[in-house]
Amino acid sequence: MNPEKFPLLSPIDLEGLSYCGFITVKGQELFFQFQHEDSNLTLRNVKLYGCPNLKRLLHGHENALQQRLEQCTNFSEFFLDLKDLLEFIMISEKPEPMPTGRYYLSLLSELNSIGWEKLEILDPSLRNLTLKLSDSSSRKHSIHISIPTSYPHALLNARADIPSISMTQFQATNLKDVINYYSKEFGNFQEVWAMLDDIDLNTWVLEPDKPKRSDLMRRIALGNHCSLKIEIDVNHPRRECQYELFGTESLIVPLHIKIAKNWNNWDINLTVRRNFENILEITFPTFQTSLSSDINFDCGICYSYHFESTIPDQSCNNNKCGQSFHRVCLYSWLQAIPSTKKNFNTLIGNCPYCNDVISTTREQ
Amino acid sequence: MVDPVSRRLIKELKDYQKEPNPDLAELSPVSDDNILIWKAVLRGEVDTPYEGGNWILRIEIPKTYPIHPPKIKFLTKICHPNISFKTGEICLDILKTAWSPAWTLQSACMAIRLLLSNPEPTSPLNCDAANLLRCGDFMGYESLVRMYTQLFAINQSSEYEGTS
Repeated sequence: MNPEKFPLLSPIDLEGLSYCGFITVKGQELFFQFQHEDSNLTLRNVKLYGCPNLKRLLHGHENALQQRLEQCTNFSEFFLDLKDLLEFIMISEKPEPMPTGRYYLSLLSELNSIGWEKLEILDPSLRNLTLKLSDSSSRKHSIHISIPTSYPHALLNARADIPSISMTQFQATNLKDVINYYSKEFGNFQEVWAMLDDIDLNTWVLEPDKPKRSDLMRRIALGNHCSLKIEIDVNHPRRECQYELFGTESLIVPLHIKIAKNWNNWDINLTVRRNFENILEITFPTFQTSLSSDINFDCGICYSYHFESTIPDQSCNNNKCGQSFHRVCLYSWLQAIPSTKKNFNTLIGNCPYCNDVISTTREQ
Repeated sequence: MVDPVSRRLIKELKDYQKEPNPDLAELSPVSDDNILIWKAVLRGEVDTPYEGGNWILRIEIPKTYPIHPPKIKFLTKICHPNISFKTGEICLDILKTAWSPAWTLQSACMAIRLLLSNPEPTSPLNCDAANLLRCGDFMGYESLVRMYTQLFAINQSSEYEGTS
């Protein structure tokens, strides 16, 4: 150890293995202590103590520090490396300016004017807040607002969960405008949400897992591994909408025939769910009624429902089996067994459950 | 995010714990930090020479499970025409070519249990036991099996725990 090189450090034990003192980085003097656990001269097991400021600077750089400790052969080398690391951190760190007094004053008066009962969450930095709002059908909505530091000179950024991409973001000068804007927007989607709520309440929705207010798609369980996917039209929520049927072919074909026969009977005064029930001539099973009968929609190979954002959309055409699979799972299974026949990118093999013929294609 | 293999195994574990199987005294991962190595304890079937015995199985699950079958072997010594007396290796079609993802660890263990009372002496791993059967000496076969069950599988289970 060379005392001229590090004038602010002094040894604290007789062997000269531990030191304490100050490290000077960019004019700042940071206290730290360096302690060897054993007499082993490698730096692998040393402990580093430091002042709060040093700790703050090194926070998130623990891996880099560990790496340097492992690479350095002696203390002087490590000390120089630590100094480099701290300098690098200080340069890359850009302190964010604090909001001015006017920021807090205007925020306070804004909240007073809209009423504090509307405030749901206010984060400790006072930079982000969430307002809660009920619409005319007493559905609860949250509006997330982030406030720039230069507020009230800059605009507030507001964001809410509504089914229109262009309308979700909104900028305003004050909170009252935000509330007025979204109250109006929420009003526009009443019909859409009424249709979706009717589906959520009276059917077993397989997808999305936890529907958000912005989700217009629903995948509804029909039983026997079959399901119906519909997407509500945001502009005409009561009108005929896009649909797709999934499941065993022999069960799906009669449903397609019923749709072809009854599609013209769509009644705009009924909800979308009731229309589909009339057209398909069924009642959708609800989650409660389905729990007793063991309808299982999970993939027969990986045993889960969601797999890398896909759901089981392949199923065995044997009526008595009807087991569903993820395309990826079924493909890798068929690929693994030697008896599978390959025809371009279609694999033809046997269902792992009933041994009937099953085929699948690789994802397009 | 849990990988798909672990997810399926966790589900299988839950299914076993929800409905414990009296013929399978135990079925669980050996340690908390590796879900790919399991241990099972088979109970010998009543009215067979295996009655009263408990056999420990070691189950190694490949990362490609359930596309590929688990590797299962006996840790407790067992006398059976299709199970190696030395290594505990099992000759059973579903653990090799006839595997399908429809099998679970539990059902595979139950298939092994069924193999105990339905030996296949034409493809033996234990020739001595198989030869007795092939000669039609059922009395000799049964008493040999009963002796090894008595020697290794009754009240001896703790001795083999921890071996791998």
